Amino acid sequence: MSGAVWSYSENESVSNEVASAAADVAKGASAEPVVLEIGAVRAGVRAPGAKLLLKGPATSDVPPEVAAEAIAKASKQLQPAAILIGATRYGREIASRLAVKLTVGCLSEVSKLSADGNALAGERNAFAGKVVAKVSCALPAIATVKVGYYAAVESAGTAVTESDVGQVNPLVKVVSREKKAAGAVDLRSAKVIVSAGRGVKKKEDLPMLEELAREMHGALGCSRPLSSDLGWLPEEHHIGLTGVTVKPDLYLALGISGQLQHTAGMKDSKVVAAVNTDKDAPIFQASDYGIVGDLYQIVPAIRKALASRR
Amino acid sequence: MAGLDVGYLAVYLLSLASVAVFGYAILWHARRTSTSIGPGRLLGLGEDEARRLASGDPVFLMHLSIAVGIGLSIANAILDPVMPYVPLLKDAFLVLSVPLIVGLVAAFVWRIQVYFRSKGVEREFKSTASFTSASTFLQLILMLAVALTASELALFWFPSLVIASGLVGVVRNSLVAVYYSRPSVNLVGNFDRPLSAVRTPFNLADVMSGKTDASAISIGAGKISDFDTSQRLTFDSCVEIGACEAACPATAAGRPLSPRVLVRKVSLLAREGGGSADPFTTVGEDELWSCTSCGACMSSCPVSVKHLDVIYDLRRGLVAKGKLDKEKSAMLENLAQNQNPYGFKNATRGDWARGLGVDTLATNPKAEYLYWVGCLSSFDQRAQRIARALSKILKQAGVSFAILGAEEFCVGDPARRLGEEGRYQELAYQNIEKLNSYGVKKIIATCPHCFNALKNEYPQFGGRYEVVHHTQLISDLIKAGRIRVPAEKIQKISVTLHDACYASRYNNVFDEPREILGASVSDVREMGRRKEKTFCCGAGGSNYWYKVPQQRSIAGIRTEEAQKTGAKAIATECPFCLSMFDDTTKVMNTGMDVRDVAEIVAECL
Repeated sequence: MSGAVWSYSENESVSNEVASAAADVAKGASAEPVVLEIGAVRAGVRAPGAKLLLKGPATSDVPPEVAAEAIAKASKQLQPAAILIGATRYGREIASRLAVKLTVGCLSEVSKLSADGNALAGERNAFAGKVVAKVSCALPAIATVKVGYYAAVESAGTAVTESDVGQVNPLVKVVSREKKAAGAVDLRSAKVIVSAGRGVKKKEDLPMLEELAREMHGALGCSRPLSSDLGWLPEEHHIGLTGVTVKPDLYLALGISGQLQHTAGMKDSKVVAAVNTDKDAPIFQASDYGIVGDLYQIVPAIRKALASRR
Repeated sequence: MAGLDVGYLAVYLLSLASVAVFGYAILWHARRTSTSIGPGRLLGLGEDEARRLASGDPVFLMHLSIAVGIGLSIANAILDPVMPYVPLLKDAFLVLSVPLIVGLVAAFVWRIQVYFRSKGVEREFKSTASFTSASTFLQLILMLAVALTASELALFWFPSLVIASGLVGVVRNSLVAVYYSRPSVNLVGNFDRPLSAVRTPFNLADVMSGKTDASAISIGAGKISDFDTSQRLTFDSCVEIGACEAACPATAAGRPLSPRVLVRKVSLLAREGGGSADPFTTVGEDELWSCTSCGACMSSCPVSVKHLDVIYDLRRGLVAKGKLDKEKSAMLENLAQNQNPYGFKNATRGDWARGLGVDTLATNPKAEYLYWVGCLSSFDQRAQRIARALSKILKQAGVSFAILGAEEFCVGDPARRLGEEGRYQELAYQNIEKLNSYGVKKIIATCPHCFNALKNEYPQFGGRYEVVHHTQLISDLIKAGRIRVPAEKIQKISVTLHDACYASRYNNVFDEPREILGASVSDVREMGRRKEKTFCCGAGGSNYWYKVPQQRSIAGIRTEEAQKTGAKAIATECPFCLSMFDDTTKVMNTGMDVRDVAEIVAECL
């Protein structure tokens, strides 16, 4: 073992965070923290400590299998004590590939990393955050580091050594990159959700609710019949047991009767308001506020009230 | 009299030999699979067939014509030499042959229809050429056997053609010996195994106590050799009759499952690939998840193939491999963390009963009945109305009852049907421990899935109770005059009853809900598929918790049937059916109302 603790992330600011984790581990292992760069040194990576540039790949923007192969080649040559990788989607893929290539253990999504004797130790949330698991793995080891846990420490540029890992061919060729189509929803991160149910009489009425969602800086969701049975909205709008589970700050249920199939997917919303013509609709029991009324009258009224406030 | 004719003698001996080969083949299969085929079993089978005969189902009559036709022609062939001395016997045979010939001709025509339907399904599934030709071959064999038997019976009428008749019989007997001795054994061995009998790969208590060696347990089928002899007998017994495919709601909805194709694929793989073959090379995941466990396939199979034995073990295999998507794994995790499949805090389970004056067993341990509410009626605000309605009825009738409240855990059915046997048994044992500690004797369940598990499955794990479905109890209360619907309160609406699979087909509860409706509404209409032949709502077998690709919804098909009766409302007896039809009746703009039988009665009180 060379006594180095390597850190890497494809994301510059995460890279600085992971470097802090590497510094902690290096202390316990009486080793040196080393920040990895692949293909090229990036200006935004400003963590203290030595940098190791893996030459071979032409740019730093490479597919994960290339990054994993490059790090694996260098690692076989230089024998670091530990390799820490930012637990981004990309980073997780590198780490798992790397663990297989090097046949060493990998701790996933850990924080509070330390090296204790011959083991790499850390903590991770388990059982949906109900307990904290302390995990460890014999060195040499790999870990993916929980993003946002470590503070990034920045300092002036330090020495860069280079290691040539040669040509690495990607398994996948990127043909083109396209942004997700406009209108695609990310209900899980929406703070406000306007949700449509069978009270909406026809597909042509949905734009009215889309407008309302936009005016409330929220996203449009729906109950199962609208997406699965009627196909008025794509499946990604479907909230419920067989769709997505959401927990926005405000959930506005319009014309939704409130079957468990639906409410199981939104029960953790902070505030729930419902509009339904049926005063006995089960949704009212799952709501903080309710209006017994026709959404075709209530929605325009809400929009008018919002407009007057602006 | 052709007694001295050498040709006659040769054919007669040949015919005796072919019957003997058939008999030997049956004995051989029975011994190999340790299946009991003694006179007791045969008598039981006879009674069972007679019961089915009374139902007058034309498809069953055709199948019966084939079996009885073969039996009669064999008897005729054996008895032929003595026939001249017993003219009455010959006449009896002649008379009997007429309806059988009609039945066989009908069966032949029916087979042509089955053939085209099955090929349509195979095209839809893009079945391999080898599968399709193997399937076609077996169907042709069946048609040939039907045609030969019909001709043999027809030849009864021409004494001069006795040699031709004998030869036809020999060919048919040979076919039967080769292709139908195994299904015959399967039928005798399995005809009375109830739908609710789920194979149990291990007993959790025995594993925990060390009585069973945990490392010796194999859960689920990962390869053909994981299926045991009885399962192999069952899937190898399929002779492409196709009744299961016609009855299957998944096939009808255009899902990627036909029970016929599934068992045949596994059987062909076992024959060609041997014990190490991986069933998942030929059976798809969505194919397995498409099953709603409604049992229509098994109850319609004339040779008692147990499709669900195969499906459950393959699902267990998928669970063992961790092949569960987000919805399925979330359901299992909810069961582990919250003791209900929805992820609600179990402490709130009894909240529906607030202000109703319903006791819990903790406060009233002497209550005569435990009302087992079930998760959906506990947490779904719509289904809670069933629980409230039943409470009202029981109070009115003066029935002493209590609920478990937060102490009730999911009965485990969704985990078991999904293939997570361990979690199911964990829940079962936890529930049984509580029930036994309270000394519970009698249980009422509104959910047929809870009802079935408590009644038929829990005894195996040490929970023995007298379990009734709420429709049974309400019907008894009406008959005993403990609740009375006054004439002016009878609802003037037309209602059609949707039988829940787990109440009707699984547990023969179908007269009671009809008696209740008869006493509480003015106009009860019937759908074509009803009672033990009911058509699934699409939620069973854990399907409530996930989606599978389909061309149309199972509940939608059923809603159309309900609409055709002209009824203004659908009566249900299961909270899951209620939930499914609540959606479809609105989506399809039927204007129909959906209510549980208990709600309908409670409204009349």
